[in-house]
Amino acid sequence: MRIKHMRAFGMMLIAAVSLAATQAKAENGTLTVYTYDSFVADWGPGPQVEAAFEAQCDCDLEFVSAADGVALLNRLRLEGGNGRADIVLGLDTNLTEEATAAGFFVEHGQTLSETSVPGGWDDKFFLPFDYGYFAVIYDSETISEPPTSMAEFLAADASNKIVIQDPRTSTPGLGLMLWLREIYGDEWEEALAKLNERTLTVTPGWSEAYGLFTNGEVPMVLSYTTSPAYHILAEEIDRYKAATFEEGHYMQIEVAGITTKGADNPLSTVFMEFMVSSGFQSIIPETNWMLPVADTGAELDPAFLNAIPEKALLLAPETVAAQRKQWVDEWLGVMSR
Amino acid sequence: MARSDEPLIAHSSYSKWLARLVLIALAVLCLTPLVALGVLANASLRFDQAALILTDPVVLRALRFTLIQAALSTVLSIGLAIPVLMALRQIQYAWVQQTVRLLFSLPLVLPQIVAALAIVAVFGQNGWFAALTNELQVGWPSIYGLGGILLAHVFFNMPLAVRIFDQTLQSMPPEYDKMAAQLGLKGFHRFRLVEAVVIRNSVGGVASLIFFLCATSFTVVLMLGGGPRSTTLEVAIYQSLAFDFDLGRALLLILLQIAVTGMIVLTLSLGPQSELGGSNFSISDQATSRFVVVDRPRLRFDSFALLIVAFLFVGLPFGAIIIDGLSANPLQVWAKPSVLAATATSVVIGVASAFLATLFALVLAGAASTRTLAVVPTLALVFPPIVLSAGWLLTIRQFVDPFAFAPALVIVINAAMALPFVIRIIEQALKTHRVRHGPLEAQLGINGWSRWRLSVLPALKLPFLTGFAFAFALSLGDFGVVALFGSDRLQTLPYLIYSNFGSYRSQDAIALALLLTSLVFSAIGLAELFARYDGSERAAPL
Repeated sequence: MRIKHMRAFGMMLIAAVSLAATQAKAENGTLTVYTYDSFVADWGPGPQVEAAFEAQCDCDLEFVSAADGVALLNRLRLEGGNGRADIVLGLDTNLTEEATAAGFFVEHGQTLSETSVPGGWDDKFFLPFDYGYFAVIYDSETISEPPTSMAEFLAADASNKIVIQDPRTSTPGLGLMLWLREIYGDEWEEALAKLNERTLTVTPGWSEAYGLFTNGEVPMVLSYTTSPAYHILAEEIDRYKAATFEEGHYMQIEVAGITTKGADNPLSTVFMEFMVSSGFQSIIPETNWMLPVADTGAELDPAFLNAIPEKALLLAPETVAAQRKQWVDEWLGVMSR
Repeated sequence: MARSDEPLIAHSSYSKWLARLVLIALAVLCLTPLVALGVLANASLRFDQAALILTDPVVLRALRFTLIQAALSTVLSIGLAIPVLMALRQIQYAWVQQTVRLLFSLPLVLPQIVAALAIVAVFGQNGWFAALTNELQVGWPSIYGLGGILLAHVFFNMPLAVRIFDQTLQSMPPEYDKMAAQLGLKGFHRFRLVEAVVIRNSVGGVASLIFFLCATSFTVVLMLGGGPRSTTLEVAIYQSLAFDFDLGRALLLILLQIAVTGMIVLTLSLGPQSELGGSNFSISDQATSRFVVVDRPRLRFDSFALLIVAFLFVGLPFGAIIIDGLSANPLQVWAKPSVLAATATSVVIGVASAFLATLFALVLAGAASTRTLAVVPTLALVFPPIVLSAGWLLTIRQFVDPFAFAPALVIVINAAMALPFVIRIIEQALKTHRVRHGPLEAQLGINGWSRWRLSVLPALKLPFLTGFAFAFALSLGDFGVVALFGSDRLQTLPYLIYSNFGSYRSQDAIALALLLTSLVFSAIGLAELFARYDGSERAAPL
């Protein structure tokens, strides 16, 4: 990381001078992985993953980051398949359909025996590396009796509001929309109308919503079941809790795939194998604050115990890709009232 | 006397060419992305889609809301800026003026997420005022909805208007003060007959600037708007460009936004451009420069009260940032290598783009006509930063690795976006300078480079440096452009702020926002200090 930031600084000084000089030489060459920002941040899994992988492959693992999963896919589109990525790590199942259709990826060729995600996994192009569940996170100092189901949450007194994200601009916002859709099907309009009354405001992204929540402006926010674990383990704060809903929780599965360029790099397959091994998986929970998809070689910290609900909900990627626009319009129609 | 469509300053033909070059560069900078998007969207762009978009109720609602909130925000910001400005000029203590000027330079630099959270901490349903009114057993109104959007936009833009008008008035010939004093003009009458005449020319330009900033506002509109009924066109553009990657739709929406807001800006900027009132006062200023308006009351209660309210309105959200930032162990956060690197990156980009913006502004101000000056750079603002960045990415990727050129693009786009601000800040000073010194320069035969060196630059040190500092501040706070280019190789402070917010680290993010604010505070403070040190032609405006 340090070296990378030094490099970033150097980049600035020579501004337009391109990427020359940056590649460290290692026996087996370089593997370039596109991923999202928080993965490579000082506090993210990136630095540990890099160290662990480089120790075993005698190669140079280079991360290139974009803001989030959506930005990653856009970067691939903007580069039109001429980018440097061997592997793209950090798309979620809502994006894989479009990414596959655009022809950026090749089949990963891995047996799927190592990985287990609720509901199973059989995608030929993408391999999951972690997953999480969306949840209503509440401040237990304001709310003493949290709702135990989506129905109860929607019907509750509107004085305790929630802040949610916009499905047009944000992944969790899209997740909540699909969650409601999966529970209520075509009869979801009434649920949306109730949600509208429960909502203080709709933010463009997760950060704005979570900021309003931790600011104390609002006692509930849409986030992940793993959010409380962060506050417990990193900040020693246990006031924030996830409400468990009877109907089940909508999932987000994060995946990685090998690009057409990466198909020629033998390191790509090595990395995909490494990704579902305990060397990688053990880093994930307490740096990416998501759940591992394979054996981590140790027990999960008890702070994560409440993070795994009994019932997982997920719509098929092709359904989402086909229906998203229509659903967003319906969402807009009701939520704009 | 110069007619308004004449250039501000007599010039040689090569400076005219330079100005044309800058204009062409601006046009290329803004139009290339559109062409690139058009070429790429070719497959998905159908003109029957255009009709579809123009009749889409979601788009129409967004358009209507964009215009309403932007118009209200502009009227409120300017309407409130004028009494605050009057009060500011009536306070005689220089330190009060300096403090207000410094504070009022800061809001625009704040990343929107930080500003919105700070505003909520003060004015929100669980904010400071709500806590206070709860104690007093009275209600506190919800800010979510149009009210919150206007609140945030006034927070950003009222101070901006005050700063630009104030800068304009500082270049008012001192004879005006003297004359007004001799005539016994006071209070509102004095303002109406003296100051109002001077700032009248800038109102249209400043209004169009603010209108644009508000029309293209995105994060605070969604965050404080209370739901998707408060949606601007910019949200729809962002959605189709970034989330849906529907280039055809994005392009049509962009064209719609450019057409509508462009028309409004043209109307505002082409409003009556009256001549600098009574420039025939232009006698030697040396004798009058130390003129002190003795009969101005030392302290007027109502001005002071108004100024305090305005100061608190802008200052309290910064108070929230300072309190939160200081509790986050800021020194430890600031000393992280990633933060130091991002700070260095931000400063380098900021200085480079401020340099470019000031240079462009000088070239334009030196040779282009007043009307061109009012319209062209502001029109550059119509193009959303995300459109410029995405379009340029698409353009240069044919030839090079676009992300390697990201820093250069960020610098140029930031400079173009700061240009209208810099021009607003320096144009009145240039005008006044021409009226007052033009004849003398002509008489002495000073022109070309020596005119800049001997006459213009020394006299206009303050507005130039202020313009430079403003451009620096704007670039430092920019996230829109970096958002698309940003990667592990191009991390600026705002990028790092968003990145911290995105990983539960809102405390660290606020500490970084505090760092960002301090940097801008120092830059603007230094500019003022430096400009006033030994000698711009008038030691102080009062």
